Amino acid sequence: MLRYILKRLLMMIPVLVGVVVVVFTINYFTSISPAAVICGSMATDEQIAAKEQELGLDKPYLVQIGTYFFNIITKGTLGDSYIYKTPVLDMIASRLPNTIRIGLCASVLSAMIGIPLGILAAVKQNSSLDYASTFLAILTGAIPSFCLCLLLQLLFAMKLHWFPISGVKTWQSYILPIVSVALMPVAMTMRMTRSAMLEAIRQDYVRTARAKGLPEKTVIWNHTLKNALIPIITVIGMNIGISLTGSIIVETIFNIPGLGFLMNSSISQKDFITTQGCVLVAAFIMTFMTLLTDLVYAVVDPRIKSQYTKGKKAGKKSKLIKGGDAA
Amino acid sequence: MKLKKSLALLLACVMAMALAACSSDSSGSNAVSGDSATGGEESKTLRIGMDTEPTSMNPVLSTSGGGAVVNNAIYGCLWDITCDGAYNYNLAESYEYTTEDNTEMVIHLRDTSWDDGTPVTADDVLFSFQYYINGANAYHVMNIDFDKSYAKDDQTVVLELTQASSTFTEDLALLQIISKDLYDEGGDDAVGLTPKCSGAYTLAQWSTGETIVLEKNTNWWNADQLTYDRIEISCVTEETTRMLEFESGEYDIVYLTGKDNIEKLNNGEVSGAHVQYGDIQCITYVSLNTIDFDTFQDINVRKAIAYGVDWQTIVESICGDGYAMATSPLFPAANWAYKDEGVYEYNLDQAKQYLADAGYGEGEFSFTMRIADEDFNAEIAEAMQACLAEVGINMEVSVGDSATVKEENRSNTIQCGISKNMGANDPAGVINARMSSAKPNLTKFGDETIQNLLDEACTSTADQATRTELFYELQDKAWDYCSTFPLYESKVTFGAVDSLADFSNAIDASSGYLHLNDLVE
Repeated sequence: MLRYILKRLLMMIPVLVGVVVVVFTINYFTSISPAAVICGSMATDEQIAAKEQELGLDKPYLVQIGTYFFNIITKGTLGDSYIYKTPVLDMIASRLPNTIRIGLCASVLSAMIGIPLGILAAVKQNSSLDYASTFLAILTGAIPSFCLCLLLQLLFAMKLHWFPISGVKTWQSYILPIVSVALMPVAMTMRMTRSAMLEAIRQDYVRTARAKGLPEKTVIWNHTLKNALIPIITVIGMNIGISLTGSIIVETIFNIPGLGFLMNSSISQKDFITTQGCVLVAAFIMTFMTLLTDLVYAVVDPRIKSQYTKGKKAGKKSKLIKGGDAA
Repeated sequence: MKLKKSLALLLACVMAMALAACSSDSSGSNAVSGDSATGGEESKTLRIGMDTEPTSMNPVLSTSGGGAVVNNAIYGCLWDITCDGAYNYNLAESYEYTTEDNTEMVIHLRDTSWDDGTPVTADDVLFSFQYYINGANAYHVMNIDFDKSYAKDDQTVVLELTQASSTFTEDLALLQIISKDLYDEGGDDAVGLTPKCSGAYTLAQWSTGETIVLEKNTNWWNADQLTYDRIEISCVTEETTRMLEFESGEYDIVYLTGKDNIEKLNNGEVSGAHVQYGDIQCITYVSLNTIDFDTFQDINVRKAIAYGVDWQTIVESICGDGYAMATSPLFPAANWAYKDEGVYEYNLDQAKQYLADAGYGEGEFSFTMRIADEDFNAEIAEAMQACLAEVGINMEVSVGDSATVKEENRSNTIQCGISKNMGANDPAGVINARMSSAKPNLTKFGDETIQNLLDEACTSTADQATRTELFYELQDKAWDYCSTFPLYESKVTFGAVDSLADFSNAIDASSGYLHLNDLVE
């Protein structure tokens, strides 16, 4: 298992390298020079050229990208922001906690709403409960996030004064952003849970469990849900990854200084080095979440766990066979 | 069962931990600490909602509007110049030119100090001007010969200029004075993160993404005249959110650009608040590139465009409150140089005749308008397209993001576009900014007579009356040249609580930024 984990961690490296190369290449070949943006509209061509030299932007593509990777590996730095003149890593580190707080809480909340709704819809298939829960879930998924954020602000902040309108001054400030981020994936979680449960509920072992006289609750939770967990975990893992990389819209509307907000502002300010850093961090989070999801599969499903350790056991088995043959 | 319980427990723990991590050390609600402008006794606090966060407190390297507002408050300049040409001296008490050709200036500094009590000296002033060479505002100090300029004593600066410039005092008015000692100790970072303040306020607190807090600088020479002890600036990019915060009473002043929000305030939909306008901040134009493209060389073609578009109706119907029809082809200048040329009269038949005189039949003449997706550009372009179609001119509209279009502008690849001219208290400053080699050809005139007149206007050091005549002649000629069509004047706009007195004088006419030390209750 450990070997599997190490192997997967090593596999993350080419993925991250690929992401950096793609983003770097796009930035490099855009017509806009960050130096021109930094120097301002009144700058002369000579000033812009001097700034490009200072930032290393006049060097060839391979040299620039090589220097970028070299700095990451040897100095552990993602460069300095062209606009803020501070290390990109520091800027991301100061903002990431806000995004993680919102992302984690939103993911838990969406799972807490989506899974029970999905189970209910599957168990009471084609009933009014099924239709109602499906409708509710799709409704939350269909509302555009910027619309949802504004509606929540108007109702709960402006009208009812239950929560602050924006910012992150107190714990109450996080509630509306968390709800905004959580409601979107509820539909996907609910639909996947319902679908997986319906498939599992039709299996013979469920019929057997009922025939044995087990309480319905036990049948649903212990037999059906357990076997339906794999696709649900996939969706939840994906949602967590997406939530943790920051919702640009939610963070902008609620003025949350998070990763999404930083990415958005760095793109509009043509601060490409910061954009690159944000994308790299976001890619790392997504690939790490994929790995965690795969590991959770192993926890939930012993069959999958045995596959991860299969290599070791297969090796032992083949040795035994060879030994037998030799004998 | 066990698994279910374990999972539920795990989820609850994760949420609890995350929420616990959310709590900050500030107690209570979003309410601002201290007394606000709307009612306070001993310590007066003003709360402002801005749109952009400062990128740095270093005025040389700062690139954002939010930074300019804060830098104007924490750093002193030598003086400010009003629209009417009056000088409000700040760190300087006076200046004079000591040579007939105005190439030597002597500045007498006030006896004032930084926020730590150390004196502001002539060395700081000279250093600051030299430091500005590194930044985007380098052109303001280009004329200074630093080898020959010197500090005569702690309170006297002697500046030698390579050539006289009528806008030099205005150039200096825009430059904040930075501590030489601080820079020597810590370089750009020290100036940007832990500035020494010579302005009305000091920087008490600033973390990226959080409220900026300024406190009264008791060492400032005019500290007794300040109304507010503390200023809290929140930077909220999204205007809708900013407006909601203002409506709920979180701000006393909020920066506004949205037409809807301005109308809302003007209609009295927000009780206890009103719109505060500054002076004309900029004028927006449609410009034809008569230098890089042959398309518009024929005056008849340009006149066909000038008289074939109903400019007044377009501006009135598309722009709303806060935008008046612009009537000068050059600049939102100082009051003493601005000439009202009126509006190009919409005359379809005349426009068609001009097009025919240029040798084009219906649909034979076409060009492309390249605009940035901002302000009212798209709607204006669409309206122009419709008007010109009736004249028989095909105008293609190409829309891009601001940075891309700006870059194309710099490369002089745009045939026709919409551009802005920011204000300045001296019109030569605007002309210089508009006509310098760094500026795109879109805003220049491909006519030698006008160009010579521009050069003369920019370098003239004659008295105001003579210069007024010069600028009037310039505007007449530019008007007749028909390559720049004024659209609308914009005034910087704020929402303000009713308890605040009119603060139009605290809004910088050229940049639109707030001078926080001029705000009164």
